[in-house]
Amino acid sequence: MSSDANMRYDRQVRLWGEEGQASIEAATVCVLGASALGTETLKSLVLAGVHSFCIVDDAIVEPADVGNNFFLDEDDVGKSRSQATIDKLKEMNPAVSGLFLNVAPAALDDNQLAQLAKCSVMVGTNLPQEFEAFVASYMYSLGVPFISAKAFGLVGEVHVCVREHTIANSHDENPRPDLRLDVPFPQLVDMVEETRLDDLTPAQLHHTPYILLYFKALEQFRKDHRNPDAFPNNYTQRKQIQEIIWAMRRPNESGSLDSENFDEAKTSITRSFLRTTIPQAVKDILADEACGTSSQPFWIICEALRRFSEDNDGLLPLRGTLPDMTSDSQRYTRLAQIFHDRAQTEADEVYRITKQVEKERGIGDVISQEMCYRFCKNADRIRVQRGEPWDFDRHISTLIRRIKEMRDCEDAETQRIDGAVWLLVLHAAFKFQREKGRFPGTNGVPCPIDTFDLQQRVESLIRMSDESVEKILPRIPMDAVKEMCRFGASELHVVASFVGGITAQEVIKLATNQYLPIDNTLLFDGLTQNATTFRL
Amino acid sequence: MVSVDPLASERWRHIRRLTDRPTAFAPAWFEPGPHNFNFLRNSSVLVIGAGGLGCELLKNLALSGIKNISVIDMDTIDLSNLNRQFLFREIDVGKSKAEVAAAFIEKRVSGCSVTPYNCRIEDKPAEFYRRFTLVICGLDSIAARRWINAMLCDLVQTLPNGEIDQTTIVPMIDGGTEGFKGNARVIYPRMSACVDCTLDLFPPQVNFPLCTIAHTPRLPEHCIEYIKVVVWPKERPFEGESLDADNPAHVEWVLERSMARAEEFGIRGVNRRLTSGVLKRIIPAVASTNAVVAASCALEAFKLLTNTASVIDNYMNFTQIEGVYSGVVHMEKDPNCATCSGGSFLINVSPDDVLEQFMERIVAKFQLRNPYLETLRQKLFWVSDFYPEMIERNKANLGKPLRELVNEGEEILVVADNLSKPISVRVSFS
Repeated sequence: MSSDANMRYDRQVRLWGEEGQASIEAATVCVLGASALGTETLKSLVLAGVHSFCIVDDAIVEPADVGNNFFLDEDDVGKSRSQATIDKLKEMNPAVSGLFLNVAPAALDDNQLAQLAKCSVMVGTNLPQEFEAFVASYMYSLGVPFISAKAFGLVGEVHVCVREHTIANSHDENPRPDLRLDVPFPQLVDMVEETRLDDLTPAQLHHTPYILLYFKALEQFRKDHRNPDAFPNNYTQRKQIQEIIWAMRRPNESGSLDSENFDEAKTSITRSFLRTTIPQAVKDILADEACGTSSQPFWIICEALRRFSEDNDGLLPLRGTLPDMTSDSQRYTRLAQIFHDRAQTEADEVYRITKQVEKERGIGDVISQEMCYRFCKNADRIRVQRGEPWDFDRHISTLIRRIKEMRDCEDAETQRIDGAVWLLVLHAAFKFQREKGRFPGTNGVPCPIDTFDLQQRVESLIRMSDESVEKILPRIPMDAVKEMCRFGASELHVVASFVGGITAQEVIKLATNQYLPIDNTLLFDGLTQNATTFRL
Repeated sequence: MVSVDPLASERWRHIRRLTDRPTAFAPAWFEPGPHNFNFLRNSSVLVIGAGGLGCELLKNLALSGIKNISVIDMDTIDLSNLNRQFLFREIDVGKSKAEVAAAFIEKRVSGCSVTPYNCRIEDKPAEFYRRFTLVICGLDSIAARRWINAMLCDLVQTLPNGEIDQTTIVPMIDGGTEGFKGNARVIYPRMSACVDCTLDLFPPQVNFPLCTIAHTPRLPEHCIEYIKVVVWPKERPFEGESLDADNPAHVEWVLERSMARAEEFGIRGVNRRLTSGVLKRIIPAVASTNAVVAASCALEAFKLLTNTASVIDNYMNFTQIEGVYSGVVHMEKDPNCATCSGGSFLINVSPDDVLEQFMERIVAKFQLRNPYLETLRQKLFWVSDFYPEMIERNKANLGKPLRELVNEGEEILVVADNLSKPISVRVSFS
């Protein structure tokens, strides 16, 4: 990275690292639709520094576009909407290249679509229902992630479609520490054995990192239980550990027993005294058949992890980062070094195995040592998300089931409409458009007439499921149907900006293989600012 | 089908759909019609901060149809702003944020007037703030948020019958982000929870104890802090200039020495990014979170100015690390809030804590700069040429337990450089 690029991206590299930034700079994004939602999505992606983008739309700029789209101005009225946005998008970041295609997304021919589908992530905005299903199925068949986003009045939807998405770093905010209290490695055992608490001055004792106190308490605990392998595995036993630790305290020169390291030891007991295991989600990944066959880097390293854990008592490689704890410099840095060195050694072993797997599968040198090391550091937090092919019937049935399970259909006091209801009525509005060629609440048709027609579409969606209309329909408040007509397909800039911001971040998650994407559909209700997630 | 949409060629069609049509989701006093949009269009909104949130807010307000916008920011543009502050370009580096942002919006959104104020918020008097319909903040400093919050609370007047004069309320919408997290809140000064009612929501500032960084460093941050607070003031490099984290030569100087110190103690992880992060207390930021949180703020501004939907009550949280979370909670007004209810902050302390410990706590809680403390009976800590006797007394008081200085429930008045008015704290012995 040049020093300018380094500075430009500094605030975000602190979040997703150089490797995340490199993935973004290699990503190409295709956005179908150049209305406010499309350009707001692209805004955050151009700023983040994607490699390139393509925006597809054949609309002609009208005054209302200038009223809600920041990447158009008055002089653009009458021009091609996709073309007019290009320069204003690109000027935000000279490193990003962008193209436009002056074609209606739904009118793309096979050739054009095949070209566009070479992108890293495809985003569709406010797509017509039939074309949405078509492009989603097509992208699924290619295995390229697709996001369908909508901004409609005061509600929005983001539907993330992936066939398989692997996550090398979920950025779990509160990972449990990897201290190996139950299975210490030799260098750690040595340091514990060298430590004799009785020989320490009070000052030294109060600067003893709590991990050493834990090991000493565990020795005592095992003596008390007359079992050399005992390990506290319930509340009562962790309480015993705490009492043992508390008894180790000695007064300082002012006579007080207070000491930060003992306090830290106490607060961290519950999180620290857990047996070292492989989390279930990771076990499932290592048992996945893709480990045995795939030639993708993620799965090759997973296969190496699987073999590593087989040879290492069912453990993952050590994370190698020691939590911060009160200590003198010498002992903390020595511990940190011990953990770091051990993690490095184990990651080197995993790396050696990946090279073996690469050879077995007849693929070249694709995994670097650094990539492998980073992977091992987060090995207990890897994830895989799998999606199913697009199926409108399934989406609707899932929503209806959810509506059936709602406790009461409407909370009269707060007027709050469940997210599932909004989503169903939103789909009904798109069905309305598919059948009548316009959205409810547009073209000057009085809202009450369109409300009636929209209500009929809601009913016919309910009929697609196994549930009876009589049972479900009363759970769809008429006010929600009326509200959807009131929206009249308006695309408020702020709602587009909200949904576009979320969509851009989902693209970044998909492009970097970091963080957990929405699984799989989000409904944003701007009336209450609540978001609900559904797996449709 | 032939279009007979009366708004077909209307620039603000998307907004007029909502302002002109009936709904079940608006407050009771909402009357659909074009007057709602006219009120919004002619209202006067102040944006505080022209940074990551500020740029987004200006765009959002302009494209919501608001014609009269003002923006206040004392900062200049830096290269590291460009990953999210999309109204700025490389050639703008060094120029005033408020001025460049205002000019950009005026150029892009015809008919919109944006007045820039390239100054500190403290430079403007009450009359300045009184003339806005609404104030929206996109700030990165707690102190600035508290200052404007106190100012807007002070603008509210009471009627002779003791009730609040609603016409003197200037509502405040406040957004904040950090990484992939953010929040947006709506405050009706003196009517609903204010910034000071909920001070505990702010994460405590990380301050490393001096004895740790000087004697027992263990983290790379400790090494950098040591160079910053001990070595720099002692060696006075660059002809005694004070440490400027924006000056690359200064950062380089600290980096070199921090690395040497880390080496000496066997600590790994000191590098340039961490060094500048520690020196500037950098908060990581991305464009997408700013877009979402600013949109959330502007959406509430739109509701508030048009009544087309009910405003949230009153605090929205957003996170986008694991999927997406967005939800609203109600923050309670603190009936004892010193800022909006004229009460005192109650602080639980041990009577054996010495004054120095107490001061450290309130400095951390209220983020004070140079605090002075006094009770009705005596000055506890005061630095002034008018009170030379305080030099010795200060020293003695710092080491005294609180029970020797104040009574249970006694009021302590706190004055500080960054407070617009003194705050009152009451001690409760536990």
